[in-house]
Amino acid sequence: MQKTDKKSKIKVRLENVNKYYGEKRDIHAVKDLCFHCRDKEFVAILGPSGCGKSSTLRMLAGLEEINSGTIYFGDKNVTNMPASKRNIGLAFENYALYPHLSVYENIIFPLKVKGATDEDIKNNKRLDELIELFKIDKSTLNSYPKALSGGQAQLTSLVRCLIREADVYLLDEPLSHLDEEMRVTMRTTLKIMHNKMKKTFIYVTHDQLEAFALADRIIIMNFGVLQQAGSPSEIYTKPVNKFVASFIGEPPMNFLNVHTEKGDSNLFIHGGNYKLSLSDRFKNKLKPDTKYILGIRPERVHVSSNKNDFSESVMAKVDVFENLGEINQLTMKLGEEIIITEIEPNIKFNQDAEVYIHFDANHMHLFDVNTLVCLDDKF
Amino acid sequence: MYRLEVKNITKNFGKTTAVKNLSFNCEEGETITLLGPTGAGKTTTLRCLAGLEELTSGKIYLDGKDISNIPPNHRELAMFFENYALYPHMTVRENMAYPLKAPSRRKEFNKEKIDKRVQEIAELLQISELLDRKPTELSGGQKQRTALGRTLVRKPKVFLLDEPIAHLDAVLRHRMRGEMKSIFQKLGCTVIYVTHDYREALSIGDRILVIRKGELVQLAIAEDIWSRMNNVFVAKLAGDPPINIFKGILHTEEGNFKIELKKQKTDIVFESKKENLKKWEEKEVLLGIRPNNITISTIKKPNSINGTLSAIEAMSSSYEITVSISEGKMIKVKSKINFKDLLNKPIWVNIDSERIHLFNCQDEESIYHGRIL
Repeated sequence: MQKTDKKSKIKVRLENVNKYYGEKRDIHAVKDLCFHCRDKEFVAILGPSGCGKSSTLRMLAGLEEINSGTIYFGDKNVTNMPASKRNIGLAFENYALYPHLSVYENIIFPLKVKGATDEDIKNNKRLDELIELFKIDKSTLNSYPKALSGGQAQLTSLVRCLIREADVYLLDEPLSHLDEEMRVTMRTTLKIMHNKMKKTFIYVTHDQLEAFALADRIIIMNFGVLQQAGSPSEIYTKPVNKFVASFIGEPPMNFLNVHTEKGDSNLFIHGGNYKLSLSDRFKNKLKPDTKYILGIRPERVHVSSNKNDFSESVMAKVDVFENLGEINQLTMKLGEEIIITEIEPNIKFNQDAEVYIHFDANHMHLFDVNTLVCLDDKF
Repeated sequence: MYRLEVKNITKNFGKTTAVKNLSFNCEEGETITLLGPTGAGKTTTLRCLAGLEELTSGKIYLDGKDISNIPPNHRELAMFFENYALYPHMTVRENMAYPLKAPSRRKEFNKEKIDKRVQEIAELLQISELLDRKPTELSGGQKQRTALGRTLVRKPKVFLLDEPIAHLDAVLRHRMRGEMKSIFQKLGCTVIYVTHDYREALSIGDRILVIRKGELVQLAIAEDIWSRMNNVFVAKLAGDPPINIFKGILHTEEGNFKIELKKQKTDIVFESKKENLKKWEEKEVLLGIRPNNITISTIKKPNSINGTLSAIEAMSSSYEITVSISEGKMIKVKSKINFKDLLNKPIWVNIDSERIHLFNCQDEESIYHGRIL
């Protein structure tokens, strides 16, 4: 992970970029998008399918025209610059390997284009290292892409991208066709390569684990709109809205319907009138007679069979107890609400056992029921 | 008497043996998960139980009755496949009621009974409000529940489930895992459940049957699969990131045991009262240590290996750290601390020697487990 040095210069910048599709330009795929990447940063663009993340990457690559807005690489406006002039490395989900070239020829293609001689290529240390690290089977080097499995083709495409001496590397789901074990291994390998190469990477994925594992900063998009940009820990601990809060984290954040009553600014959980203890930041600042959504991460919910373990708690019933090896997971019912928490592996509970739940008041989030915006900063 | 008794079953396809002399018993109300990598023989085992594959040899008993040669439709088992097929022209209610409308069940289930049963299962699966919808109007999870409901209405003696939630997205899979466990418990179902996902297997199974190349490797409760694994195979199968394994030589030293890791130029010292460990003295052993039982420091401590911190990957509330040690080997560490400032720098990884596992170097069978949990 690179230090996010505030002074390091901005490498890529998007200003109010818009993209429309459809004959009548009626599909607004990317809306007024603004974000930047600093030099040597690893940025992941994360979102569900159709959120505009791939369109964004294709616009950065120059493969897709932008309808309005500006893209800068450093100080240079590249909005109308063709892809070939942008000095970028590209790897896509669908490989785009040259079918008439062997695996090896595909990999060295970017070097050849830049005029490297056979001697240069032979002496290129990174080439051997990349082939080794990304586990390109040496016996397949002389075969043609059609003989490769989806996973092998994807790794070939990734190596072809990284062999280039580019300013910016743009990667779109480059590990999606690998089996689970290989995907995790290659994720680490990619992270190690980024640390070594010290270049700017922009990486598109729908997989929150991948984005978290790889990125210095994550850009979260939904319906073509940027939701939040921040470091993994910022996104995790300070989500700006319920979408971000629910999209990130496994097991996911717990959401409870809560309300305040007339002439009272304490919070109650719906359906059971469970009163919650609140941190000072919320106290006396909640509007009376108002509904909110309370969000709390599973690890911030504490459980005990002994009421005296907590200063304040509510009683719930165990619905499911799961032993997951390293950790145990508990699903509880509090009235109509379902609450999940993780507990130490040596602690066990039976189904239907009555337990006491304590919410860590410092780590509660409140969301507006209508806009779903996180209200934490307002308190 | 067991609900299901599987005795020495073997299934050959031509010259390949998919299931080899497999035996296990399942109590009434028990859930057994079959865990193994792709091609281990999990699905074939399930298909043998269902009667969809003829046994090459062996016997299967249901409540003491030999069902080995009984056709699938008379076995009183219900099978649920991963690729659920709902009838698109039928509503959720009709889809769920379908298995009860078979001519053979006409005596047992009249219209009233069918309605009642569908309603009961729908409530349990939380799809009561969807009963009049068609499959096209359902989300992925709702379709999955409907398909599960169609299996559950039948009240068979044993449910056979093959990767029922594998192709759902992460969030939904997570939720369904807990829900299924809860439903099985509430209905008191006897279940054989196939999965390749160790978390699912540990969570759902009262016992977990680990299978490799058609053979039983271990049949145990989750705690034992995690902490008292039979061999390296089981150790590697459960855990993400997987357990770290090193080769070393076991010595005794002043009443303690010591594993000399030659390649890492380190000794790992630990105490044990287990006498039978002495017979492995001066022999090659494999040391296993889980990523969450390793810490990182900048100074040398006892039981540590030096390396370079080469990658930090953030997880939800922890970090997965990769440390490169000698000869291109990597160690995985799980930590609550980021260690961002130590990236690409030399560091020490400290092994909690109380929590190591030792395996025989030849057959990789377990010889020692450190402190449990």
